[in-house]
Amino acid sequence: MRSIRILFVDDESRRMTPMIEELKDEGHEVVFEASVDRALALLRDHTQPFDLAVLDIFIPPGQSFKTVDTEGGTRTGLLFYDELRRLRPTLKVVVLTNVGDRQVAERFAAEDQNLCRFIRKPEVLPFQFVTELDRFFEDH
Amino acid sequence: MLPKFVDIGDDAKKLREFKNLLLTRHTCSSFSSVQDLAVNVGIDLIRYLEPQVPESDDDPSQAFSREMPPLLQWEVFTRVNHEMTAPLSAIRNNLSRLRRRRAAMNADNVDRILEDMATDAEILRYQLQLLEYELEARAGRSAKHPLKTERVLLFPDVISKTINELKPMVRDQGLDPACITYDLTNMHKIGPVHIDRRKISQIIFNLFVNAVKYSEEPDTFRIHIAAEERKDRYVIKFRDWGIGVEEGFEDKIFDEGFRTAAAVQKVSGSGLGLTIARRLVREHGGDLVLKNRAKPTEFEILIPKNLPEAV
Repeated sequence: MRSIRILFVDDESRRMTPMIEELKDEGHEVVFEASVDRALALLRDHTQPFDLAVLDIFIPPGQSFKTVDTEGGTRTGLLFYDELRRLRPTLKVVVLTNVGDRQVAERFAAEDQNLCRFIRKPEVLPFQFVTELDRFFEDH
Repeated sequence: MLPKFVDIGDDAKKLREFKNLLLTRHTCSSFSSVQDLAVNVGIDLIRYLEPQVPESDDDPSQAFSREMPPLLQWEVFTRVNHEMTAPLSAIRNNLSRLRRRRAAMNADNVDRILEDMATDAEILRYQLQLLEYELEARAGRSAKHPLKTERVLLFPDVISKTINELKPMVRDQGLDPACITYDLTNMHKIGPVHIDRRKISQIIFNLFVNAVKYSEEPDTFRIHIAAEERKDRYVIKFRDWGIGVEEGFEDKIFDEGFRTAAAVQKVSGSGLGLTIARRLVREHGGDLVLKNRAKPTEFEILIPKNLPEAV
């Protein structure tokens, strides 16, 4: 399994530590960003190569989405995803979130499944997450 | 999601009423952004269209808007769900890491993971209590339940105990727990008090979590807690030097589900913490008041002295 360089966007750094350490233990490189503003800056910087992005949905909107209705931050990741797609159309994205309502799940089910996977945080343990992520990356 | 277009018809009287409602509740200076204004006008619009929503919270049994508009209920529910699922997932994930990787970890790593798990377990416990209080209020039951008062010491049994359990949260934000200070001289002068320990601890938790979440830079982070005894009450003064409360929102921050635009931009949250904290202390016959908006933000928890110890 080759090493993957991952942009991991989530506002809860302490709680994401088990996932990040599991990824590192399996040989992957993780760039963690808790702010959507800084994460978008990295995506705009095309000297920053990423093989894959992991993205939460319920994140503070920061300055990037302050003028948009994010429904109290519960939908920030949807807007972030659209912007990410515009900046990096072929980047594989794993949406990893506690937000589990049908509207959000259907939104990502409608995406090209070669480029996007939707995973609910409570449904995967760190080692299972890494296995799913490896499979997704190796597919196609 | 707030509706984009709402047709309230051509009833001139209703339109006038709505216009007057907006004029009395909103002035441009009260809002820091157009989005802020739009969100709050939207909330009023929903309340206008569903006028059974109570405005007053003078009566503790009516303190929660039990008939909160469904559109707002959904957003608040999503936030509460997140606040509980997140610590639960973190505990499971840390447990899984320990079971699979413990042999390769050093003692410091194991200690850190155990501390994280303990913190998330405490946070989950408080979030579940928060949900319990919310559901009780919606069912109209809370005010009928007697307080379970007991004889406790405010500082060691409630304040210090609650905050010590949550210190990893502080470090998680890149903040220094040493910047949490207490006025111990006055605190220790207060003898045993009769309070519902679980409920007053919940208030400390809610204020503390807000102070950490809405802190600014690590070098300006500070929380100071003082207490004093007055003729008929005890007062816990909770001060922090975070983003503060914007002018014009001094009362609205106690509304169920309400979050200022600055708070929304900074961090996720349920918008229930202050509402429930105020309600819990009002059940004691006391109050939670905002004494100062910013630098420091100061809340006073007022607890009556004459509460009997429960049998």
